Amino acid sequence: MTIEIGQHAAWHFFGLTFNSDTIISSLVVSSFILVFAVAAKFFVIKRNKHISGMQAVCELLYGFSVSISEGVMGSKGKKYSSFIASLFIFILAANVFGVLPITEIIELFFGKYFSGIPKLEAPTADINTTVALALTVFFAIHFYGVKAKGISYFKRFISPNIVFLPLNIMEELSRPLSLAVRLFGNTFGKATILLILVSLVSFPFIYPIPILALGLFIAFVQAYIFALLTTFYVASAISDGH
Amino acid sequence: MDKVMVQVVSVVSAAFCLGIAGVAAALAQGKATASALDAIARQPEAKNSITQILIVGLAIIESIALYALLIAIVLIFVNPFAR
Repeated sequence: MTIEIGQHAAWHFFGLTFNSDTIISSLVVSSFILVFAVAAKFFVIKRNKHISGMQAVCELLYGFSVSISEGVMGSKGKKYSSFIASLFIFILAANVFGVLPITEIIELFFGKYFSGIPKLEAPTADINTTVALALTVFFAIHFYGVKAKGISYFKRFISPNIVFLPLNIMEELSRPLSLAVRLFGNTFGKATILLILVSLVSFPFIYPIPILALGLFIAFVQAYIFALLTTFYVASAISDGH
Repeated sequence: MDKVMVQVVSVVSAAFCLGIAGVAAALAQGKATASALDAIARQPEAKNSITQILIVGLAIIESIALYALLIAIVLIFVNPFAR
């Protein structure tokens, strides 16, 4: 059995290459979040005497994802909590999508009718997705910093002294790199371990379960870390002095 | 140089890269966790903030091992010298 790593089914438009499986899985994850959000709006607004299970789940998710930014920045974090909570929820859903064996189940039941069903990995197992997320964070940090402090925001680049300018620029550039590589490495590493484990035995049903459980844990922790680090970066951008 | 030789060297160096980085990251993470446990044992009421800082610190330490993983992936799958 050959193991292909970093291979994506690609579309070619206008001389550009699009990784079709990543685009499809991102769209699936986004539409799931959209449907969940609309459903949550209808379930939560209806105030009943007893709280339904759906409402409890929504409140838990909302409270946790908002508490990431507000726990660090306090009441100042309210302005940024929607951005950080969206990042957290998207990355969590994307990582969990990689753990669920959705395409395997489709292939198991409908494989005799269709052939060539693409294998959908988590969107975050493609480095293009994580780099896009990290670049969003990178530009958002500077946007929030300039918005909060005006032109004096750029003083932080020469903060103790003009000599530290290259060091500060390097620090700013290493942030999106580490964010992207951390998320990609964890998701991709889990997927690769699973692929190698499954290829070792002929009847792979029970034995990848511990790795799947670890994958769920990693999915949550990586989404939390991404959101928390974004919060720290935003907090350092809008704060006065070090 | 011979292409096969380059590939052999790439695989061996990828293994060494990930091995050494794994040892370093594991030592660092163990030290960080041990210190955090000490701090929690000394001051249990600060558990939440210590845990938050610990998780961020572990993530930053882990990125060292993940940079090594990235270099290993590049060396094995998309090596520019073995083309």
